[in-house]
Amino acid sequence: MLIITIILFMATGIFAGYLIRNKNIGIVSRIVTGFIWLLLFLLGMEVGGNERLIKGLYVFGLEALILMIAGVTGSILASWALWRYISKNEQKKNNQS
Amino acid sequence: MKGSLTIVGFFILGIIVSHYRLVPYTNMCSDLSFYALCGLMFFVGISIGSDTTTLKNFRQLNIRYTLLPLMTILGTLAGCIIVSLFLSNRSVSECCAVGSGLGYYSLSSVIITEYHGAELGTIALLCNIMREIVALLCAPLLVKHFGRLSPISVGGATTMDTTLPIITQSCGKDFVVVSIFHGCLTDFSVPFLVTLFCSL
Repeated sequence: MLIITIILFMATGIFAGYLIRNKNIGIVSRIVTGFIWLLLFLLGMEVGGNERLIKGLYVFGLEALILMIAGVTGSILASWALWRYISKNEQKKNNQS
Repeated sequence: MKGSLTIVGFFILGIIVSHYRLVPYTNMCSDLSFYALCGLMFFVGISIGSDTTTLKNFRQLNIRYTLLPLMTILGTLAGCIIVSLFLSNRSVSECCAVGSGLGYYSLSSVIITEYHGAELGTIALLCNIMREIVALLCAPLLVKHFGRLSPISVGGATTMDTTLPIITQSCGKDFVVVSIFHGCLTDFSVPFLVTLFCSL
């Protein structure tokens, strides 16, 4: 249900943004950056405070890293294939029209 | 690049502060990160809503982008199957169970701990938290070399919350919808996939 709350916040933001559309709001991107910094700091705190994670990192860190790289590489290649397929198709459509 | 380094800096600072108990990690911190996420989404919303060209671009989005969650899952599993051949002490299904966490470290590690014990659960926790960190740090690099879908795919189940702002920044606002759709679908598939591979 947390997901719904988050989406509601975003929807409210989109609505509020639409009301003040086409105005110069450079401060918004700076606020977004600030929130990202805060979130990453808190994520770091969660990792650093988790004894199981820190201890596990020494024992299973390499295994986890290998599996992460495998999964990430696989998904990068799969999404790249889809991206190239779609780009090619759109080019064809543009050439025809 | 400088932006990514600053982000890593804050992440490492958080680890140090909490590990040496300068400020202990309490429930208040996890509440705070939820509120920060809500605030972040509100301001990301404002930047989307105030940009009228974004709304027009939404309608021109290719329907084929809906295939992305499937590509993410198949790609991740393919990678895990290949690498499991080289990890002699882990079975194919164990590797797939860890991989199908798709960055959703809290849920996947809990399910895997239930089925296979704390050891594999810890690996799942580490593996998926690393995936989220890689998605956060490498998004601009990935867009440059592998197209705008790759950061979304690497983000896995986190692309509708924690990694959404980074994806918005590096892929452009047009891909916000793709990212949320992708996050929703992969998010719901994590419990099913992890349970499936655990019971094999």
